[in-house]
Amino acid sequence: MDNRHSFLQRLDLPDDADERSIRRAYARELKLIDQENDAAGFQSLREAYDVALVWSRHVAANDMGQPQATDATTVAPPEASAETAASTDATPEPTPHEPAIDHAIQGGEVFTEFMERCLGLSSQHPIIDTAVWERELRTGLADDRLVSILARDIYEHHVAHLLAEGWRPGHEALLVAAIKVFEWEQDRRRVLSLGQDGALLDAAIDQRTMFALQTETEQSQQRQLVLRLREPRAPGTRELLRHIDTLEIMIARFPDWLALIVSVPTAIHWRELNEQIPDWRRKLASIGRRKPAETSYEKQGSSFNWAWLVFWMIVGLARFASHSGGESGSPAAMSTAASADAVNLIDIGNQQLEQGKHSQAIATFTRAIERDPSNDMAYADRAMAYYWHQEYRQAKQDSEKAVSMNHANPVAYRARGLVAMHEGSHDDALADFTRSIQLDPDNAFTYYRRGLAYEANQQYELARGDAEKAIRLQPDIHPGAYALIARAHQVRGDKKKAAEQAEALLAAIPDRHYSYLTAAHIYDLLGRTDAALTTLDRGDKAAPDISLHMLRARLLPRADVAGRRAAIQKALSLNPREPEALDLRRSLEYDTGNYKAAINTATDALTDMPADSQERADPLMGRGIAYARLGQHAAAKADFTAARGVLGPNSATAANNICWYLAIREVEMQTALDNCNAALTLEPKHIQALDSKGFVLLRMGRYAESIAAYDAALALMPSLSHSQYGRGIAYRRIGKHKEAEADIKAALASDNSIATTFAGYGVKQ
Amino acid sequence: MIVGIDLGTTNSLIAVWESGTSRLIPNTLGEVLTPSCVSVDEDGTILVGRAARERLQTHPDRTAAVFKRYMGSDKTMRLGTREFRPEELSALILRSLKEDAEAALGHPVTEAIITVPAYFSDAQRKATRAAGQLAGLRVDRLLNEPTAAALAYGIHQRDSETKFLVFDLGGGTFDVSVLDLFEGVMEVRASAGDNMLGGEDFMRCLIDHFFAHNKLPASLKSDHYFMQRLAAQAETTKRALSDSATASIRLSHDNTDYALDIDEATLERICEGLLRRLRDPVERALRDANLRPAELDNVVLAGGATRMPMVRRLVARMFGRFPACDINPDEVVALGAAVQAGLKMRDAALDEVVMTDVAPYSLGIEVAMELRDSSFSSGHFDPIIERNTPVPVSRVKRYFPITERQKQLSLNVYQGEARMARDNIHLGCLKIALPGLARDDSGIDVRFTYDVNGLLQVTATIVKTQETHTLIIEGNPGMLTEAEIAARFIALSELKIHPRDRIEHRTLLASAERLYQQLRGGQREWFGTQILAFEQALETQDKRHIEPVRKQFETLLNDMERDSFTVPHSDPA
Repeated sequence: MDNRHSFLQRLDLPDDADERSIRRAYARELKLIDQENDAAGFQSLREAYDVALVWSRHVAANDMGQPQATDATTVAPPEASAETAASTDATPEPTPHEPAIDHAIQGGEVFTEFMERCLGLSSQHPIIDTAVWERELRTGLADDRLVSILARDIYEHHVAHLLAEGWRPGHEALLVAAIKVFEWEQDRRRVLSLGQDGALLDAAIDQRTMFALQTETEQSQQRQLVLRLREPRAPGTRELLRHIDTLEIMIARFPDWLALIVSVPTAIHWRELNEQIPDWRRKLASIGRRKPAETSYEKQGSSFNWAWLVFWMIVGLARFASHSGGESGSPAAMSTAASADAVNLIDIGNQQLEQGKHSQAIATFTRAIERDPSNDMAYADRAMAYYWHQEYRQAKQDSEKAVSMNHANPVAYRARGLVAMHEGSHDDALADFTRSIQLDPDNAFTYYRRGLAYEANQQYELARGDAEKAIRLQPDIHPGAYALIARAHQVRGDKKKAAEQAEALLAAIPDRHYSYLTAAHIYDLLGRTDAALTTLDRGDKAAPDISLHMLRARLLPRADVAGRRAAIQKALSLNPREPEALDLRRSLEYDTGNYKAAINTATDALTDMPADSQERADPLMGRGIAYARLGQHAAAKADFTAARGVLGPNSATAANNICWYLAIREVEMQTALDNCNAALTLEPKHIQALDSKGFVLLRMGRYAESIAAYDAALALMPSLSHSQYGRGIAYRRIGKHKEAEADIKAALASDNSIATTFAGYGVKQ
Repeated sequence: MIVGIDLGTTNSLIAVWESGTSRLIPNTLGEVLTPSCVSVDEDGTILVGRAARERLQTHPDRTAAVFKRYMGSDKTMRLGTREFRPEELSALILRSLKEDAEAALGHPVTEAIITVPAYFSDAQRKATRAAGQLAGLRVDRLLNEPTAAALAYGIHQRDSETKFLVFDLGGGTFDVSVLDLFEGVMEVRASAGDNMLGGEDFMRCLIDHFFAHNKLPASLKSDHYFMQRLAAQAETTKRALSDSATASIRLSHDNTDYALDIDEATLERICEGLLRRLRDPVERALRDANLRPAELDNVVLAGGATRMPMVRRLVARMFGRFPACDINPDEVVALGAAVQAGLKMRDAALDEVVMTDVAPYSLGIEVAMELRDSSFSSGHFDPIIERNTPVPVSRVKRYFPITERQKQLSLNVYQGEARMARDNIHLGCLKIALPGLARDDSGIDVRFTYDVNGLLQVTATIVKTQETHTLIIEGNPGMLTEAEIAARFIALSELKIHPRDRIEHRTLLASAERLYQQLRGGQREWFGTQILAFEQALETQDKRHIEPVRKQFETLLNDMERDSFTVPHSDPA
């Protein structure tokens, strides 16, 4: 049966056809078709050709890591063949022309001069006259250096990029001028050739057109708002309420265009301010009456007060009386008993949460919701309970519901933020935590969590600030807060301050084993293993726990076999089936060359685990590398495949993790490479997998390919110090010292311990 | 045998594929370029070519030129007592060329490939085909001019792999095509152009400058005689500046002499705006083809206007290289048309060559777009065939009505690149009655089919009922129906064409008449007698007598032209 792709069949090409042979095949087939009379035949051939070209480029891009078993001969680079083709027929050499780089630089020069001129003109006031911008743009275009097409292109790119960066005073006029001068409106596709900036401009221009198609009234309303959004001064409540609907419409209809013609932070600020307006005030705007200022009654903590309830009832009835037929506010006459019940239940639920009885808390909150479906706090609290119970989907649902019911519920935002963190959406988490803090400024826990979110975004100073605030509010909030501060100091290179956190932590929370674990981790982060071990000793006395022994086993130097064995023994004596301890023992046996014993320990650990559980991954991998050392490659591969199977065969992250596991141990490098390639096939933009691939290839001595993989990773995340360092090493290996220095220096600048990390893998400069 | 014809704004040519190569066919004057001019003689016969061009100055109200610019429109030109459509004038040129070919080949010619600017619209292409029909030629295939030039150039390189750009600046139109030649496949990657930019526009700049320099009143522009004389001189001056550093125009009117001395640098300065316009299609074609200028192996020039040094300089600066000038730019398009004729005849010599072209502009319909808040914004253009798609191509897209239970839908077909439909060219409208169902059930599949000749067919099928409607892009301004073509064919056939064997003499006489008009006083009188003598010799109908007189007369004419003002030669360089 012919397993080839249909397009390859049509062109009668083998599976490993390269671009040249595809073109040749197309040429051959094309000559057999009568274009005029067999249009359908031509079209199907052309389609096959187009698809084949795309396919071959895709394959070529992925081909870097393929084993050399297949032919290097058929995949001849196109340049070489072109030369041979040209030599058979003496085509005249193209006349030598100026190198393209000059034109690109010139284009940039003309743009810089344009900018300088405009800066000069706008020193007093921003340029808001489109004619002025137009004139300056055209002056640039008329410059002699821009006769070259390439230079003009660069110039246009620069202007597009300047606009795409976002609004600055006067840029709304620049946008109009640029559209006119470059004719971006006339030709739909012209703007799109400007890359990402072009795509943004394209959307903006489309939206601008749509703006002009609205009614005069709509346009004039929106125009007023636009003018206002260019001013930094905050709106008064009345003004805000007058414009907020228009703002929402504009954001819904013209998001990209808006970003280019007004200040985005200002618009966001308006929205935030709007969130904070109490409902009653909002409704007042439509009624047109004023009420005396009242103390805020939206403050909702997890402890509910009966007095507040009574107050609510009165206000609720008053509201019911005061407006008729407006949008639905809080439901009017609700049963007092039911709402009181709900409140009570919420109270109980929170107590259960504190005791760690997550499932019961969930049940309790559910009953609260049944009693009073309008109580957003019940949803918010249940969201938290779901989160602690690790049911993230439900947690997300409940938190969304709570937020939609009440824009001023800090617990709801907190819960949603936690879920966002779990999903890796750090920016969303930050926004939610910030909102929660706005509503409940004294909640230490939220500060701590926001600190973690900042850290995930590599905003270390902000992270530290939040962690410190959390500790100030509540010194025993969580050992993690101290660790976060320590990490922030360590990134800055201040080891002393980092170390101080360990002691501060132990002073603040001396009676939990987790504190000793965390403090030990802090010392370990700073490379002070002795101090870490001493801390664990202290923990043994103050708050003994199996985890301390296991950490000790990890921290002890590799060479201290006896010490490690003793620690593991202690752990197993406390719980003989503890999976982590078993894994440590396997690891020790592996380290000391007792591969058979390692295999047995791993097998033993696996017996406790259900067949498809993810926790099988570690022992499977561990057993696999032991098999590899014994030369039993088939068994090894089987274990690696099984590990990937339980982690998720369609998970790029899982494949990458396996690749990394093998790579840092320098075992089964080909399998490692296969896995990270598999990860990239599943998710071509998986940054970690690209980084892993670079590392694997580096280890395999395939430096050029390694550099290519690192290039790809850095293209997606230029600040990834791990990739930068790895690439630097690769450059050094092939003798490109200048590039190597540059990369290594940059990597160390963003993470000064990267060299140590790599040395730990066994890769030194 | 199929012939290839370049129906140009200023000049037309005819060529044939023979013995493995393209060959141009000369007219009765022995020239391969036949000016695209038509004139009605005193006796009502039709004159085509050089004779007509001479009469442009002496009898401007009975002569027409540059009518290619009106193809695809309803504009008529009056020659004497009769109104002519642009298709008819073109048909007269084509008929003349057809007869030249039949005389040269010795057998009837019934089929031709005619070239059109790549940027010609649907209506303009159909008009060209109609012109062929009116001339008694079957035109099964239209060929884009830059592609033709590419074929002429590429046929000599068919074994190599090369990417090149064709820069075709003709009398009235400007076309750019980017081509990729490999394994004998000549693939057009992208096309762009400007239908209102050509050598004639450069001339107009010069004429305007003359007016400004001499402070002539604008009203003088309605004086046909004056304008034609000025145009002829401007043309020569323009050409002269290709070879010499300076040239001058001298013209007299109402007993006043006007003059303009001009050098090439000044000419470039006054034509600056036009030169700038040349850049845009080039940039767009390269952008669409996804190539940078450095990736091109060559730039091929086509069209007489590329002889102007300022154009060559611009090309060199745009691309950083000097363009290829091996093939005569005036002839390259016709030669290429002949190659295509050879391909169509499946000549064995062209076995290894095949060509694919692209749609030069986007084609689509007018739609309304749904916004995020469920409101609608109408008047947008949604392309169904994007420009530079290889042809032939057929694409289908599904659309839905705006409201529930909609009973009727108007499909407005447009061609162009702008976002809003109103900024594009409207091709036609198809009104479809809908079954009046819910929106989701009222889908319509709109299919655009664009063939190798660049002609569009639009069909719309109601998905639910499978009813199909076809848009007939006819009844538009600028287009003749089949019936109208048939009627006009008969009418044209009744026109008498000047006998071929007398064209040479007739042309000579026309030149003489033109010169006569420019002379004054004694010189004029004397020249008049010379003309008379020639006419009398012609009347004897005795070849042996006529021949020496004619030769003498011709020499006299040439001498007089050289001596007096910068009166234009009839021949191109």
